[in-house]
Amino acid sequence: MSDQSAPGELTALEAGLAALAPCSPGIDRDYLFYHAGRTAARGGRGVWPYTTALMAVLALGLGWIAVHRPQPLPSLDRPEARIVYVPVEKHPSPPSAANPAHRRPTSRIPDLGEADSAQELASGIHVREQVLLMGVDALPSSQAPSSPEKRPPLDPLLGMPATILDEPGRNILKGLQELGS
Amino acid sequence: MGPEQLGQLINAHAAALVLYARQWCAIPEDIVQEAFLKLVTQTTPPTSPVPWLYCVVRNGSISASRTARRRQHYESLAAAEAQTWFEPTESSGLDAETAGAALQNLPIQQREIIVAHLWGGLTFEQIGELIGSSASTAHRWYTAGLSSLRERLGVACPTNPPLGS
Amino acid sequence: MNDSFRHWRNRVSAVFVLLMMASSIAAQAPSPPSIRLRVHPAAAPTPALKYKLLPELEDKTPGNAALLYLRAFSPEWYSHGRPPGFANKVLDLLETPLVDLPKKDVNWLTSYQPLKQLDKAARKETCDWEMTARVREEGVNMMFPELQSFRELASLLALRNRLYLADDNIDQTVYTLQTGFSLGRDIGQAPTLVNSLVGAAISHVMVGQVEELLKHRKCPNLYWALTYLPNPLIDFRNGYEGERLMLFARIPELRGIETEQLSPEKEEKLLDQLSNFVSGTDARNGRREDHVTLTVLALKIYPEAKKVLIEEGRKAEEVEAMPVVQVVAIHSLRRFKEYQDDLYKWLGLPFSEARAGLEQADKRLIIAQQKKDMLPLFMLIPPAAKVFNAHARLARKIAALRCLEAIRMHAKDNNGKLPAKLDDIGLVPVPLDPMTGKSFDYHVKDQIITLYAPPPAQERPTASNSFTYEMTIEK
Repeated sequence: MSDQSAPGELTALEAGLAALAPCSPGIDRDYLFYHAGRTAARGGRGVWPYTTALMAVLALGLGWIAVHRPQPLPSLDRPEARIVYVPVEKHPSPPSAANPAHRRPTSRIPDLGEADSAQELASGIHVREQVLLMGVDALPSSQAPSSPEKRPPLDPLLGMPATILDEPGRNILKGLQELGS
Repeated sequence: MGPEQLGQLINAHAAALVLYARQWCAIPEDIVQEAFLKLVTQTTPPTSPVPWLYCVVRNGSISASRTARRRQHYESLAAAEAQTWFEPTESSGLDAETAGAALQNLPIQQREIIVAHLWGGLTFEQIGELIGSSASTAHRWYTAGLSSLRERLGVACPTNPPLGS
Repeated sequence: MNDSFRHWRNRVSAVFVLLMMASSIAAQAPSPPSIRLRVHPAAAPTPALKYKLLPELEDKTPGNAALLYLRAFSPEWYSHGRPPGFANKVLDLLETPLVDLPKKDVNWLTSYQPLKQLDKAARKETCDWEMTARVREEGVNMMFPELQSFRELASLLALRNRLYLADDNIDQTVYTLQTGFSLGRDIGQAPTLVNSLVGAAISHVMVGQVEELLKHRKCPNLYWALTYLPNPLIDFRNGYEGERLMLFARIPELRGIETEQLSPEKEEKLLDQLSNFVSGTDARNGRREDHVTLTVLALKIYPEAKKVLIEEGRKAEEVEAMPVVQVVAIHSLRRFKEYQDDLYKWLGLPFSEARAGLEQADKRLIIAQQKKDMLPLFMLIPPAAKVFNAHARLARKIAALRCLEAIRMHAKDNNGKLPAKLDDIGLVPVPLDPMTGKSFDYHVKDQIITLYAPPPAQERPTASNSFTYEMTIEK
């Protein structure tokens, strides 16, 4: 649409801007592929289940032997097993000195899974990671405390009014003494 | 969503999505990562994943920035360390740092539309839906933003006689 | 000259013009706004440490401050209730000019029990959150339910401080600052980096209140009060050392991995723990991941891991006899410790000397993560440079305020005359900028002092890496 309706004098600027490459995003591809595979495996759709299943069969077969038997694998050279990986790009080049703000990719521990609730996502590991990366504003919001009116009445327990706890200690003591007399 | 499609989406759009999220928040990579995670865990993937991603990233970024904004003044712990928006340029085009600085000076409405269109590849219809406005309004802000950039960068109108002639 | 050539030439010319004009923009990059202070000259008080920003031992009583800090959240007292918009209202009141502060609306803060508990807690001799045992056990799963509320209480302390300032009550102001700085320090010295950051954030709030105090016409000279603060204010190494405990909290079987001969049961446990770690599952939730993902990863890493262990001195036959998972685990643990120490070693240096080294170590870690030649234990190495920089910024602000107080002292001693340069101040040592190791940028023009803390080289100025004080000293 810009070519059709933007004034002609802006086109060179658009071209100049569009030629700039946004900084490398630092997305953890493996993490995303892992979850894509898990989700699809549950739904049994697409190539993921086959990929996952093939990986599983190969891994279980070789892996069981490899991790549970210390001896060299019989008749096979060390794991040259054909493990099928999801195609991924080459690793991005190391950050340049001209980009000192380059931050570590978020290769966080994968999420607990599709069925997990928001509560689990707010678990300590997530909070820690978010705070260390984003600062203290990533702390979960405080919950409002329960109001004093909602506290259970003391009266049935001690024969004293619930509001006694708002009093200084000496009055509470006096109340208890009167109770005993 | 298959691995190839996911890979293509990441290759083609992750960097632009991070740039888009930077308009609001200090750690845009996390927002974009979360958006891709939401995408891959959808039981029914969206028919148009790119605008969908922009919408999710926008919502996540604005939400993150609201939390951060009021605290920054007092705690001086702005999550925003120095942010570089573009890879340094070696060709004789626009200077990356200069352009980034000029973009950051624009009002957010103009800036986000320019980023979504030029780097995100969204049409003005898609941008209108994204920001809850019309395509024509989106285009108007886009044009206004580019005009401001042209002034800030001191670009002469190409209808003037070119240099050296 | 044909049209296409003209069109091409116009495009090239336009881009050329963009390039020619672009360099001017660099000087116009937006800087954060200056912090403006209007102050009065003031000599050092007598005695010199009449005002202190932390309680001293003589002000303290035996006991554990943590109990009282947590008592501040007693449900019966914690009655400000957080109605919608409360936090923003507090922040508005913190920004309201002192002369316009609606004192009647905030007077309740002077008798608000949670803040009184903080006052008492700040004046206890020790502060033991008993957190180390929890870190060992819970590791990265630790929750921090109280920290956000402590930040809220710090804001209320700051508001109480403004109330006292509005009432010209300097003694109570200093008292409140002591409470706030103690709170920040006590929270910040707990053994997690999250605590460390929150402690720094709270301390920054108090630094902001010191700036408020400086503007008061009765403000004493705080040079020695600021100088007497511990440096660094918060010992952030506790947080880093706590982080070290998190690996073994998460994967206890790694503890003896170098020397143990793994029984089948231990091997199974190790596989379980590593599988859970790699998959992000917490076994205490009753979930258990299969070993597939880990096995695939281990097989990929094994050849290199075996080679490296032998190169590093383990006997070849010993390594061959080990289960694959043990070889991979030992290799990964050794690399983890190397990278962790590569970061941590810089923490003992002054900020200006450590900064570049930390950033380089962080970059090496990023490269190592991308190689994927070890188990992803990296996830437990915190972003060291970020937390370090947070404390460096705090130290920088305190040093800058000391500079300003030195200038106020000089002005008092010289009938209001301002120093032409910082070296002209002979009464007290003028601190260097802890981020750069050099003097702050100092200018005087038209009786307005500008003290500038520049961003690191190759970085644009932002609110987090630079600041400017503009100080006018009234006669």
